[in-house]
Amino acid sequence: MEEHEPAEAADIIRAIREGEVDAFVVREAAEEKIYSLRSADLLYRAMVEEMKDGAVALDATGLIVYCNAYFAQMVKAERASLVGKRIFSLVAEADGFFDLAEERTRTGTRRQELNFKATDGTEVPVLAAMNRIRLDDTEVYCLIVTDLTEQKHRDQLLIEGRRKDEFLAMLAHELRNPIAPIRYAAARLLTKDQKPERLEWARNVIDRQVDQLTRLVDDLLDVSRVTRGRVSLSLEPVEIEAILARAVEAARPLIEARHQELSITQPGKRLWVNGDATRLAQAISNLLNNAAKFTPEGGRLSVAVEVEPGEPGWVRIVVSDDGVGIAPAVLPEIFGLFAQADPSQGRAQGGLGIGLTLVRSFVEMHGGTVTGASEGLGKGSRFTVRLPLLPATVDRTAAARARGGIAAGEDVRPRRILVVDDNADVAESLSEWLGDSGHEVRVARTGAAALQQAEAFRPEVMLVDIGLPDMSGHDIARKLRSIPALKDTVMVAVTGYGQQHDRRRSREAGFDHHWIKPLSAELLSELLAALDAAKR
Amino acid sequence: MSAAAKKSAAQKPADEDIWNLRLYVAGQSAKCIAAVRNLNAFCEKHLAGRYRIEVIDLLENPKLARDDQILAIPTLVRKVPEPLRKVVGDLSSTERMLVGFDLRPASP
Repeated sequence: MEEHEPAEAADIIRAIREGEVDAFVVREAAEEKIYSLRSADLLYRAMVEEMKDGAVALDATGLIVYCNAYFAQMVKAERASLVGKRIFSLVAEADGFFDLAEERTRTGTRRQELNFKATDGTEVPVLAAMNRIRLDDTEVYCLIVTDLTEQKHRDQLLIEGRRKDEFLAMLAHELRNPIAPIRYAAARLLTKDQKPERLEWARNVIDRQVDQLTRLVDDLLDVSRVTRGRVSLSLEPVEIEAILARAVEAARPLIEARHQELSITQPGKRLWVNGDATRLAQAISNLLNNAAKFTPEGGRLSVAVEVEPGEPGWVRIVVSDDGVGIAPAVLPEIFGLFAQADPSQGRAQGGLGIGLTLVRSFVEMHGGTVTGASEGLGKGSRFTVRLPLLPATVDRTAAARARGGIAAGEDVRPRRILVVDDNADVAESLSEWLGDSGHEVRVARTGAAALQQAEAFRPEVMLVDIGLPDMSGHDIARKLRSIPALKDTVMVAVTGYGQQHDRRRSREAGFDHHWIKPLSAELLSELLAALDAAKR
Repeated sequence: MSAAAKKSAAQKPADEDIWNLRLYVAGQSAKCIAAVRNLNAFCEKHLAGRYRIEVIDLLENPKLARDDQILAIPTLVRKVPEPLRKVVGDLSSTERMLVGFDLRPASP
């Protein structure tokens, strides 16, 4: 040992006694070593223990030899249970990140985004950084894990905000489009050139463009209701065939305008679901409109209905086309609000990119699912809607068939029924059908005829088409309700419009029921049976 | 006003006027952190503008302990002005430092 001043030696002893030192220099084999008292590495320890990033030490085989409290919290595990575990078991997909034998892991710093897998199965997005450190004679891998959950969430909000901006821009554009033709047509109406064909032309332009505006605004209202969870369904047994008919009718103008061919495949039997016919038809027509929009002119579309193979309780409606298709990268996002795969594609045909959001919402509200598939760009698209069938479907149709049509026979009394419809085919087939079932049926093809017949015939049940050439079904109902002899007549509005306000108008006019076209035989037979139960 | 103050206001202090202090530490141990803090406070009060501190972490390079024959950590060494002086410990006593550096005679 070197010479030391006695004063220094005394000072050292004093400092030790008074606890002013916490490390010593010791010479071992001609080499100085520092021996720290317990508290010497307190700061480092506290920092690593307390820091709000995960810190993990791994041995060369990937075994966790240490982890801090935050890491344990991140993967939702007890710290004690993590030590001795292999890191790989906590990673969703490591992508070779933990290949500890690899050269670049041994020499440099690896830094990568990964997904850790918490013990409850949730995934935690992280940024992981790892480097090797030497510790006496061994080596350990120091892993620092930053939780990116919040950052990802913020990123997502940013993306959604950007989408909303794009959506607003698109919306402004879409709302503007019809304005120019309307303004032009209005200007034509004001000029002295009042030839009938010019007037006709101007009226048609305004009519079409206002229709377009109305559709946009309806979609917007729907999507805002859907996103706020404010859509209520009026559920009733509906036939898939009826839904499909309405959907096709709604989509047909666009399909025809684009000279596309639509093939429809339906199963031989009638399928019933418990649903809101308007919303379901809207969902399917949205899919059809999309198919038409994203398929070149002259392309082929198809819609096929079948009972889900292997699952007799489900019906599957598949809408497919041979159009532009969907890139695999955007496929998972197509049902998201404001998502439109390639704006330039959809723009040509207009649209707000909210159609599929509505489809998914409506279908899921019915307990169903919708999926989209495409082999890739240019390979067409295929959308599959699955809906749970009414459990009683088979029984109901079978029972109806066994009774030989609608509510005839020993358990149903014959009724006087007045059918009011300007469509001869509809009126005649319905009256024939009801007549075969033993009911006494009259048909009126106009509002005036309906009023006359009603007074003379005094029907117990009236089925009234709302849209008649000479007067509306509502007016008929109002007039007839004021006649005392007809105050107990059951009046049913039959219409293609099923919105809340349509139903309210029917009720206010004096109708007892508001049914969506085409008329459901089931509903009719139920109505007649109920009539018996009430009056018997 | 004192001559020294005039001089420091007029020009930079000459090299021999600047105290050269070396503090030996072992990482960020509690006593070492205390010593750094106490030393800075002491210098600001008693040696304002004429000191230079060098902190030597012996954990990083233990061999440096040899230069000044350090045994216990922390230890403060005054290299300049001569003679070389050492104060062992966390420098929590200003009194002891003043005495150790001959800035004030030891109390009887």
